[in-house]
Amino acid sequence: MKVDVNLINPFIAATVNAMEMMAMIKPVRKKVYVKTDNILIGDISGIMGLSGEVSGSIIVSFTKGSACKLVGNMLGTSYDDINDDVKDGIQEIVNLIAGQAKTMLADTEYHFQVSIPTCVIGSNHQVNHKKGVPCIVAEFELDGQPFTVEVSISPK
Amino acid sequence: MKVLVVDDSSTMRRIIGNALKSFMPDAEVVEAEDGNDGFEKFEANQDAGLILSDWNMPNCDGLEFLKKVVATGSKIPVIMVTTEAEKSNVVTAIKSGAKNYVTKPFTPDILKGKINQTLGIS
Repeated sequence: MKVDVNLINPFIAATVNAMEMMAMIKPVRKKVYVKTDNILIGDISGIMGLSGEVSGSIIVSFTKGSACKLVGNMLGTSYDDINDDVKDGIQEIVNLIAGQAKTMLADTEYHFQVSIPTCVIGSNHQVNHKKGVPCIVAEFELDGQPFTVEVSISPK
Repeated sequence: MKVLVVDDSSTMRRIIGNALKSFMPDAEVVEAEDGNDGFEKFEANQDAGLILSDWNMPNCDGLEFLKKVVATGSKIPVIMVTTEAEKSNVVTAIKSGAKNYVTKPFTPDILKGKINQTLGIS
């Protein structure tokens, strides 16, 4: 199946913008690749289904350290472990990223509607994107710790 | 000034609350977690000077909440604070009675500017 990796670009821009504006922290972009398994790198993942003229999903997956650092910065405090605050903060980051990307893709065949974000916690957890829809991953580092933005999207 | 903040994300309510207190030290923030809760808090806090509302929320979304508030004849200004940045959505919100529109993500300075513009503070 042909994969347009440029589709990840609005989500990359939205990720950087959201973290710079809401957490005053600049994520460092690493590599982009097409994913071939369901395993997520982190300890906590924010997930949002994409609907409307497309089917798909976005998953933003963090290590405990990167999640705590990010949400701590957003709220002007610090966290040592994943708790309800960190969980809600990760859900909000997914919302911010998807919301901006939605606007950037508004005039394309990938125009989508967002849903209410959810969260999965646990090391080496797995989440399935929709079968048959390619998944593009952008790897980042936040304060030296990795996180990923995974986007799986196709027009209906 | 009492400010009603309606958002289903506790993180966003706290971010907005922290930002408000940075430039409005006398701000008393009343939080609501969706449009239904927001309308109850609106009815119970008629002395509020400002309402900040998200758009995408479960149970009762921000647009429905806005229309319910406007239908009461309330003079409390409502600013939408949302990721819904498409022009058609901005137009819909303003036509429905929103006094201003802030797109997420935002900085405290952006929020301050929109609030001052809405309240006529120079």
